Amino acid sequence: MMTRASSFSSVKTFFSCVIFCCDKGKVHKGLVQHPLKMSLLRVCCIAATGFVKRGLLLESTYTACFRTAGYASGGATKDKEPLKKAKTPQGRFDMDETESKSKDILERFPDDVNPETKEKGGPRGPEPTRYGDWERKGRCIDF
Amino acid sequence: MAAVCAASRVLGRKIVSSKALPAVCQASNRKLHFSIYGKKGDAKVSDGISTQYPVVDHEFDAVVVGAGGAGLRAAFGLSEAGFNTACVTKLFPTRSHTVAAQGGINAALGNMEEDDWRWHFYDTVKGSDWLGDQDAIHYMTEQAPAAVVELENFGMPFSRTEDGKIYQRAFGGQSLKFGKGGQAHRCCCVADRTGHSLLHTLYGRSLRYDTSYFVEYFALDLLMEDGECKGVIALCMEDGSIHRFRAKNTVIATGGYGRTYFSCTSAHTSTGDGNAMVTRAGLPCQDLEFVQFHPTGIYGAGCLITEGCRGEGGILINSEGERFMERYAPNAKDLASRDVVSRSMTIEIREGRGVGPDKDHVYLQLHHLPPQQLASRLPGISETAMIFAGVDVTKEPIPVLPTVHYNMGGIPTNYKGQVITHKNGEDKVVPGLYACGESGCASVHGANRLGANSLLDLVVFGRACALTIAETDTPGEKLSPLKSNAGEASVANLDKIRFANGSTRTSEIRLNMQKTMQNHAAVFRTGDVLKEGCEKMGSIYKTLDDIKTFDRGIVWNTDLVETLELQNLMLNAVQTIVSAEARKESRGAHAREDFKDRVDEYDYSKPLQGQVKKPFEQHWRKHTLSYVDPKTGKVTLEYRPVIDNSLNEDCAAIPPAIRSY
Repeated sequence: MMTRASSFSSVKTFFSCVIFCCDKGKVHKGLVQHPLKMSLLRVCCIAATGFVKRGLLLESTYTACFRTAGYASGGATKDKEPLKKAKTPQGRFDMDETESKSKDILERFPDDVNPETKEKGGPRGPEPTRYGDWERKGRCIDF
Repeated sequence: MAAVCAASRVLGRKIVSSKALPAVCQASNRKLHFSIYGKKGDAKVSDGISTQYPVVDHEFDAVVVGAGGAGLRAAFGLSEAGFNTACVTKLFPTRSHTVAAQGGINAALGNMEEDDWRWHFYDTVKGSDWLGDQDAIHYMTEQAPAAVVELENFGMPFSRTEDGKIYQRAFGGQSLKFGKGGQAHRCCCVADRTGHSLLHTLYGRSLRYDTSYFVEYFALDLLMEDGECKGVIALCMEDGSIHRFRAKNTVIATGGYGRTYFSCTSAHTSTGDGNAMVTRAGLPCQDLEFVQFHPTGIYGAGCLITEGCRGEGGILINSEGERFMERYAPNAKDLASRDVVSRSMTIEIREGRGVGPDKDHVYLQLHHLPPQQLASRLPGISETAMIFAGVDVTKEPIPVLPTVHYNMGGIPTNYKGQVITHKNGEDKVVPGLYACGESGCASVHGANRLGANSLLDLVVFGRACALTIAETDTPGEKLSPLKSNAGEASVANLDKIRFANGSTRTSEIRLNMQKTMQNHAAVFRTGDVLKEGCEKMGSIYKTLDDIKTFDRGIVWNTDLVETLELQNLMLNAVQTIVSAEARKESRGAHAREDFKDRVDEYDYSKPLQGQVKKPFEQHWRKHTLSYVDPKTGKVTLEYRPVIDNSLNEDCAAIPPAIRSY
């Protein structure tokens, strides 16, 4: 069974060989025909995907087992970087990131239990029926 | 699990290629291939209706049209009983309008104080202004605790008390001891999203059973033969194919028709398709004139603003900046009851003191109140006003107008969910047809719906339809034969609209209809206003013949579907306004300025001793049954008596009385 890291590295080396060949070809032949290079790459890609697919299939079953078994024990097996948009440089007109995050107007009760009525799992914020209709965030939901 | 449902839908198709292609297809002579996969491999293709619109025939034991709260409950109730069920819906189940019902659900569980379902029965009968059928109300309130417990067992996460019982709060005009024992606490909820949770629970539960979902199939018409309903014909929006679902039992659960009015809280898809299908089949609709309004709905968005705004000091102002409620209700002013406020707003708008470019709404002013008070007493209102009205509530007023929220009327049924007609003074069941939910009118809400009763209505009557079908039929019964060209008229109509080349667009006709209904059939109803409205609606109905559509294709043609929905809306609208004009009394949500009192068979404000009972034709404690001729738009009205006795002696019927709170 291939580990993810090893499959990745093997693919990397494979591709680096491909690129090397292309470059080499370029250097040796002077001008490498575009279609030739593309077709060469295409062949390599097809081969590589087959290669990677097989590897990834094994790898995915591996992680699936790992995930279901080892989820409770916590910790991500992969040290993947979280996807984040690149931050724009702070300028005069940029808003501060903390301000732009919308605050939740209706806060959760501690443990989800309403302190006055002792209701567990009830609506957040003030009692919705206090005005005779069912109110939430200024909207009338039912009456 | 969801993949099973997706796979059960047709994936690839194969049709008999037609020899004579219509003009529009000449451009692409590619042959269309139609193969039927899925569990029911015997779905056949036929060209019994037309060679240009090949039709796919399916056979099931039961078909449910609509997948909201009631539709899903009926569908999996039937699947649980072993019936081969199809659920035909124009929206994905979790997108139905039930998801927007965030209020609670009433049931006399007795968790907060001692409670009895007979007191809930009394409250509902009184709330309906004695127009509700007491046997249906008895059935609903008696089944309510069992229904809520069943939902809870399905996994719906109701809020709990400290002891772990379902928490109930006071809401919606509920009382104890037949109105004499103070406020009752009967409303159960799931945090602040009961309807959303209900719909997702029901959908998740329904996936355990073998229901075939046909999602994004627009039901066109019922297949009626000899007064019996034999199925439904539908258009698959994804690829434009026509499907006929033959079944011994059809359940309609298509929801309300809020979109006939300019301002409503309903989704754009609430177009009364079920009511219209039944009307085109020659069957009546019941009590369509009873439409529930709320005074302060945001202009344009349709979102309602709570009465708490006025309770905290908000005022309604007209174009002259005047606090007009002082003239209509000198003592209560803005805190007058909802119907008084709605009527006052409408009168101001009619007399030309409305605001905005069309002068068709008024303002709700809150910026004279201190912002901290607003934020602490009404948290979230500035967010609501900004999102839905685009105003800063601390600086500008919110534009509001009376808004439609619920339709009490619908397809008449008995307490078992079977659709009925009224012939020779008796209720007669239409074989094979059932209705439940907002589209059905077993008449539990009567002339006015109480809060938190409609979610209960959905689950109880959805289950009732499934139980009735399970009692009367067995799964796997052979279907009676159907003519090979059944549904021809629907397909002809579809073709006519698809190639319509008149002069007015769908959106213009729809806006005309909505504005007319809002001006003439809304809260303020008097004889001449209603008559004028009836005439205007009659002429707008005629403009449907002159409609223009633009998209000639058949794949995902939203222009076509919106026009079909407009036809359905029109049928509902004409019935609503003509029924309202004919009913010369005020009862529940139908309030008339020229006939301010209820007209019952006795005058219940005085002792009954010595009174003569008025004959049926002379009083108004009766249900309206309306029929429409779809070609001309002419409405005919008949009447049907209210059922005044409960189901059995477990619960005594409530004799009519004057309704006062």
